Amino acid sequence: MATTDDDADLMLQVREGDMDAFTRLVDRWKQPVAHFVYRLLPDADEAEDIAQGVFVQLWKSAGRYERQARFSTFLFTIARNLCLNEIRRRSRHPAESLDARLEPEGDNAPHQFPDPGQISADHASERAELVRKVDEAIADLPEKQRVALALCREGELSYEEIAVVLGTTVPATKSLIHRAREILKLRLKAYLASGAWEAST
Amino acid sequence: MTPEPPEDWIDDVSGPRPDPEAVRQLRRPGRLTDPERRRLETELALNELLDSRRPPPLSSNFTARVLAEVAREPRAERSPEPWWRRLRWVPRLVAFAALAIVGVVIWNSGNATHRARLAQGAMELGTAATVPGIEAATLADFEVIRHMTATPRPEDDALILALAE
Repeated sequence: MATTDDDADLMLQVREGDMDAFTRLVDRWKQPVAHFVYRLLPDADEAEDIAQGVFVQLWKSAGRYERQARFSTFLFTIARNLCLNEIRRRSRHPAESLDARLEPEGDNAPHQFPDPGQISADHASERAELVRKVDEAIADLPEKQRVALALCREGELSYEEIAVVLGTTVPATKSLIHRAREILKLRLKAYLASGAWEAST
Repeated sequence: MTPEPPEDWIDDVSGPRPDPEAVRQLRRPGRLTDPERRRLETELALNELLDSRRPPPLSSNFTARVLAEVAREPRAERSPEPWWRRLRWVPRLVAFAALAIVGVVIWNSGNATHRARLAQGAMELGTAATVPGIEAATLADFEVIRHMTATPRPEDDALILALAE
């Protein structure tokens, strides 16, 4: 889903306080934003809470939106900032859970992962181990590389748009993504060579 | 077919929005060398590994929760335009006025020069008319005479010398 003029038009309406236009934007972009957040903070509940916060912030910041800015870069800049704030908050207070800070409301049903009964116990265990390794490897990346990789893999943004969100140039963005991938290839070499991700998905 | 430089094809598979057709082309026999092919497969494996970490679907009431939260927030209002942006027409007006003034000055100066030249011509004509012995017919050639050079031309000097000899 690339940003279209429709999104910019809707955002201009949101700037005037149009709730219908805001609803359409939320419906259109909630999945990409949630995926992006999940890539940086791999906890489904927290990712959803932060994604919700991204759209609340979008509403509050609508007055600053200018037509010249692409909607996708405006939105993902907000998402990036909220994620980085959360990552930094966690590094300062590692024991504090986001649940303790955010007031629960609405649908609090915990997210369910696929029924473990559908796959064998071995595969479930392998999968959990693999996911943990991937999460650890990504979490160890430098902050900018992590964000660049998350924006790149989400597939919604071009190099140019990622560069705008990161506040850098296109060559620097390519370099960040390239270096992140090189580090991940080294750290996950055993899994990449064995094809473990195929067996466990 | 010559393979593209590695940087380009790696971008195709490791950058945003990888193109499946580009990947299919790269996998064709003879397209890449063996080390490049191994590199390609590793890049694709990493893509699959990264993409296997998909979050579970969002709650069905996600949008409703966002709207409920937003309803408690102040209405999104357009930020007031800073005073200096409200005066953005001033530089244009100044530039236009400067251009207009320069135009008027140039036109005025051209007009004054023309009028001075006419006045000088009339004065010369008046002076010539008062010289005794000058006929009106001579004055008809006044413009021709006025355009004659003050000093004799070299060929005239040569002719005078030749006649003197």
